[in-house]
Amino acid sequence: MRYILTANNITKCFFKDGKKFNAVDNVSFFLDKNEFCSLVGESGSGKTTLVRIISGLISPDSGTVVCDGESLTPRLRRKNKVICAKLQLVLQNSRAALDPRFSVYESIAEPIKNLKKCPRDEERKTVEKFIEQMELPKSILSQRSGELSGGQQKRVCIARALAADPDYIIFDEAVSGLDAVVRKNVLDLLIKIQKNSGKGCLLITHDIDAALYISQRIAVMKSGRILESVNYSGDIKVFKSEYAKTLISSSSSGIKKYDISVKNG
Amino acid sequence: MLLEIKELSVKVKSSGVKVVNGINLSVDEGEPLLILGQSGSGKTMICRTLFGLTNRYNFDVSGQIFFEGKDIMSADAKKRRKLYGSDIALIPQNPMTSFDPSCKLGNQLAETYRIHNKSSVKAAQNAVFEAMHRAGLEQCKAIWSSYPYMLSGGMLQRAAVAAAIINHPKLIIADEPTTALDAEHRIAVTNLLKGLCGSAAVIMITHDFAVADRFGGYAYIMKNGVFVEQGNIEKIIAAPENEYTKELLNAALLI
Amino acid sequence: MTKKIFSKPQAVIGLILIMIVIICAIFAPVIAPNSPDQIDPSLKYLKADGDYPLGTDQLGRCELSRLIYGARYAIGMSIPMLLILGILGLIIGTFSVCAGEKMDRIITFICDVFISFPSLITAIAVISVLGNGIQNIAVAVVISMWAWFARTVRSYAATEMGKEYITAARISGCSTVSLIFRHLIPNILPQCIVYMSTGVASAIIMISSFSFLGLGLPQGTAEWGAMMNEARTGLYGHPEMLVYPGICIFVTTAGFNLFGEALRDALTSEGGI
Repeated sequence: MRYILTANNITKCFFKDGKKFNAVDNVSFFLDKNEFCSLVGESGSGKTTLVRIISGLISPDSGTVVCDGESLTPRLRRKNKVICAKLQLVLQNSRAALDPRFSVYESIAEPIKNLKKCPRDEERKTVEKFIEQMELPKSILSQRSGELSGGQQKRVCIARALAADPDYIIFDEAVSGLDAVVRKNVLDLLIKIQKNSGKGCLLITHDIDAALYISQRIAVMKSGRILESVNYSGDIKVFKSEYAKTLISSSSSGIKKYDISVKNG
Repeated sequence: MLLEIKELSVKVKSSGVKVVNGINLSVDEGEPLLILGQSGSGKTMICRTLFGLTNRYNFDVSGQIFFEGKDIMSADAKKRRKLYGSDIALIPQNPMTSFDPSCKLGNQLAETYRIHNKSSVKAAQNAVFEAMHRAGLEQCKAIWSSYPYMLSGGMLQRAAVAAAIINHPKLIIADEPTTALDAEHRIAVTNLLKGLCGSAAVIMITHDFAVADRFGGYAYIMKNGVFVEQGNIEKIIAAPENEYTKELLNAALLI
Repeated sequence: MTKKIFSKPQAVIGLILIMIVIICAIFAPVIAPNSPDQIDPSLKYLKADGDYPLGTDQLGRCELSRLIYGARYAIGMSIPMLLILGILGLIIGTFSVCAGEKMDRIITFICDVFISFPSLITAIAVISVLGNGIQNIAVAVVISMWAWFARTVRSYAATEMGKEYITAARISGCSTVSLIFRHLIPNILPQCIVYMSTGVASAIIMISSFSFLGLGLPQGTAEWGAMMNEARTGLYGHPEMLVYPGICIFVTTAGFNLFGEALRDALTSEGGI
C-alpha cells in the first residue's frame, strides 16, 4: 500500500453566540507524496480549522486523520518525533510565527535541535543549506526576525519547516499579505522546492490565482464542505461548481484569458 | 473638468521621503478613473490629501487641487467641509471599522444627509432609503435599525456606498473598497461602483488588476509616488509599455 | 532599549531616587552621623544642629541616623520578598496556563479567592497566627500577595501562548518544558519585571503599615512605619518626627513607581523587547 496523508469524514464544530455550527462538515481529503495540491476557500470557510486538524494540532469531533498508516492525534504528534518531523505546517502570519527573541539561525535550527540530534557544525551546514535554497543571504542568519521584510520572514518560516525534513508540508495562506512581486517569487520558490524534493505539498489559500498557478489538484471549500476537487492542468473549464466559477471570474485568472486573446488578436 | 490635480507632492517631515512626488491628474464629470499601485506606492496619500487629512505637522504638501475650477487647497476649512460628504464623497477601505459601532446604521446615514441639508427626520429617512435602494440594499427598514456588527462585510460596504451617494456627489473616491470583501461581494461592489459612473465621477484606488479590469476606464499606474504609466486599462493590461507595469502585471496575473 | 528608557525624565528621576535609597541602605554605618539605637533621655527632642542634623526623637536617638538605617529594612525586606513573589508567580502562572484547562480553572479560582480578601487583612491574620518576626512578615506578605502575581503572570502567559510562534514551536517538535523555558518565559519576563518593579512600592508600604500597627518588628526598630507609630505620642509638640519617615516612604515608593511606569511605557511602545 502506498503511504499517504488522508483525512476521513472529519467534522469539527464550534459554538458561536450560543449556537452550534460545523466549521468543518464531514470532509474527506488526501495528500499524496510528490504532488502540489491546493485547498481554496474564502475566509470563514473552515479551511484553517481543517488544516489544523490534518496537521494534528487539534483533534476533530469525529473522523480520523491517517498519516502513513498511523492514526494521527495531537497526543501522538507531541510524543512521536518521527511523525512530528514527517508533517510540517507553515503558519499564516509569518511575522507572528517567529519568536521575536530568536535570531534567524536559532529559528531555523529549532526543529533540528528538537527532532534530530546532530553535532553543531552539521546543524550549521544544514541551516546554511536551507538559507541558500530559500535564496536568502547568509548575513541574515544573525538578524532578529523583526528586522526582516514580510517576504524574508515567509522564507525563514518555510526554511524552518524544511529543516525538519518532512514528507508533507502544508502552507497556510503562504502568499496572503504579500506584494504582487514578492508573492510571485514565493510561489515560484514553492514550485521549485516541490519539484526538487518530491515532497507532498498542500497550499491553503483564498487566492485562487495562486492555486491555479501552483497546483495540479485543487479542492474548493465553502462553509465547511469541499464542493469539488479537480485535477487541473491549465484549463479552467474543469471546474463545475458555480462557486468556483465565481471565484475565478473575480480573480485575475478571469482576465488572463482575455489578455492572451487580445495579444493574439 | 471636474477635478484637476497639479504637481501635487506630499513629503513626510520626519523622514524627508516624498510619498507623492509631483503628480498631475484630471477627471471629467461622470468619468471612471483608476489609480493602480502596490501598497506603499502613495495611492492612499493622494486620497488623504484630497480630503485634507494630511496633518501639516507631519506632512509638507505642495501643489494645487482644483474642484470645479476652484482651488480647494487654499480654501478655508469651512468651505472645504461643505464639499466633503456632499460634492466629494469617500468610500473607505474597511467597512467593518468605518462605521460607529455603537450607533444604528440608519442614524449614521441620516446624519450625513442632515449635515448638508436642512430637513425633517422623515425627509432624511426617505433620502436614506432612496440611497440604500440605489446602493442595491433591500430591506431598508431592517438595515436602518441594525447596528454595524449585525451586517456582513458586503452589506456594510454597500451601506458605505449608500452613505457616500446620499447627497448625490459629483465625485466619489473609493479607496480599496473591495480589499476586505470576499469574491462574490467583490464583483458585486465593483459592478455597483461602475454603475454609479455617469451620475458621478468615480475614482477607484486599488491594487487588484481583476477589479480594475472589471471597473474599466482610464488608469494611472503608480510607483513610489509617481505615475509611471497611464492610459486605458484594457490597453495597459494587453500591452503594457513601462518596465515596472510589465513586471507588476506579470506578478499580479502570474504569467 | 536602555537608551529609550533613559530618554524619559521620569525614568531618570525614579532611578536617582532608587539609587539614593539603596546607597543609604548599603552604606548606612558610614553615612549615619550617630548610632540609630543609642538612647539618651537627656537629649530628647533636640533641635537640629551639627551633631544631630534632623534633631532627636522622644528617646534622644538621632533622627537622621534612624531614617538612614530605616532604608535597610525597606529595601532589604521588600526586594527579596518581591523576588520570591515574582518566582512564585512565574511558576504558578506558567504552570496554570500549560497544565490544561481543568488545572487552569482550579488555580484561577484559588487566586480569585485570595484576591477577594484585602491583602492587608490577610497579612494581619497571618502575622497574628505566626507571631512577630521579620521572616513572619515576609511569609505574611507573600501569602497575601502571591495571587496577584500569579494572576498577572497567568494573563501574560495566556496571551503569549495564543501567539503563532508558540504553535510554530510545537510544530517544530518542542516539548512542553522546552516550550516554557525557551519561548514562553523569555518573552513574558520583561512584562513581569515591570510588574515587579511597581510591586516593590506596595510591598514597602505594606511593611511600613505593619510596623505602624505594631505588628511584625520588635519595639524600637529603626523602621519608617514603626518610627511614625512612635512619633504619634509627640504629635502636637513635634509633628516633624511623623513627617520625616513619611517623606522617606513617599520618596522610595515614588522612585520605584516612576521607574516602573517608564519601563512599561518603553516596553509597550516597542511591542516587547
